Amino acid sequence: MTIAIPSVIHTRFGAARYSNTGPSQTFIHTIANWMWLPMLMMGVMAIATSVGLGIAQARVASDLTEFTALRQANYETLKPLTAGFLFLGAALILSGISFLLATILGALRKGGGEVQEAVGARAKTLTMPWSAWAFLGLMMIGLMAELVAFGTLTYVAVQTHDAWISATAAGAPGDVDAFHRASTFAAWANPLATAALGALLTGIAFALYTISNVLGFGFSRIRELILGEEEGDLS
Amino acid sequence: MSTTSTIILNQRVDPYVEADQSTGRNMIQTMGHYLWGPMTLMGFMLVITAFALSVARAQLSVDLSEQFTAVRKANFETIGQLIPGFMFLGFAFILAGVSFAIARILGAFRVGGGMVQEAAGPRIKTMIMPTTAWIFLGGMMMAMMLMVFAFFGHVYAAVQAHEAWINATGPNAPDLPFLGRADTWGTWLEGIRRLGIGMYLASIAFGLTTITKAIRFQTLRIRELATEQQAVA
Repeated sequence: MTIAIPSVIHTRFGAARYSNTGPSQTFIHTIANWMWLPMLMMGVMAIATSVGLGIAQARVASDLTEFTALRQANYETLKPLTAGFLFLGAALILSGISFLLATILGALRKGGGEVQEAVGARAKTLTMPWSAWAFLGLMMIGLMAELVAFGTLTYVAVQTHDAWISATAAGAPGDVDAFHRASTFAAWANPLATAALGALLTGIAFALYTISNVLGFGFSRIRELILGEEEGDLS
Repeated sequence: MSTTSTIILNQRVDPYVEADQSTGRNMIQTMGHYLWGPMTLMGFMLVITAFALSVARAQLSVDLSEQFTAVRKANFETIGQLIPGFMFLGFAFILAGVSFAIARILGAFRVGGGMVQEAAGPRIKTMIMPTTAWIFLGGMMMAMMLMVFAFFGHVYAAVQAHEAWINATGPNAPDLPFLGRADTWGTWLEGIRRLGIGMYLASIAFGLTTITKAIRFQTLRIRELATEQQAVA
């Protein structure tokens, strides 16, 4: 008598699926395999740009001992741009790390399937858990929020330039409206950029939780294969 | 022609204990198992709170550009001190969530490794908590204390900033001693916050090193089990 094994079962680690062959990597794993390095590189380049802008700002600051409207405008414009590039770089590096964690999950999925196939068992694989979806969502929200913050800080830089280019003395912007617009936008753009990093880090915590779950499932499956007994459906 | 290769199995760098039964998670791993989620979520909520405060501050900035009042200016400066306090406390909680998730991974290795050894053979070998894990724990706790201290420091600075502006008669007439205290605290707390984040990241690096130790231990143990099985056969 043969016992029919359902294609989807519920385990201690979440829903799992049986298949005759080992699973391939998902679309997200494939993207992660290709994207982690470009993201990290872009992040490092953005931070290097920010350092360059910081040096330029320091140079303008030393020239400002003698006030001109142009120097003051350049000095004030470089401030939000430096912050914008710095936050963008940090966000891109965190996205690169997130993609790397996704490649680990992909390797565990593919490798686990290959091991099961090699010992002649049906491949049992976890379906994509809720924490992986949360990880993806937070990563995308974080990256998008960071891009919005970067765009806003660029706008702040433009407004600041307009405010100071017609100034007649230090501490007295020429265009007061533009100055207030820049202050108002900067008041929320900088915290938005920091909050976006928080979202990316939260996503990383979810990714690590997913990895711990997948490892637990992997060990449990190896135990099943050694003992030759299948864990029942918990649903 | 045949070749012979020798694998040295017992040159373990990490000490271990041997038992008849699988050991469960230790206390830290159990904490990590249950606390990673609440910590992460609380952290994310604090970060969102800080962003909401910044939106309120932007509105106050608009109001101040229309007309100066002492209350508006006091609120503007008070919130300016509270935003970094909430933001970095949020980061501290999120990084604690990340650290606990790493502890959870270590727990998965410990429990899972024991389970597999129990199924495969009579003796279960478990790695003793290595020095890197203790450094990971200690660093994480110190970083959390620094960040909590920085948060309360910012609350104090916020109170000082409020006192400095609440009776101001014009945009350039704050109560200078209060303003000085608020600025001084705000300046050195920035250093404390960065030190806290740096300590968190360093302790996370030690947590990841502990994971590599666990993987190395298990790889050696799997080889050992395979050899034992061959000898029995």
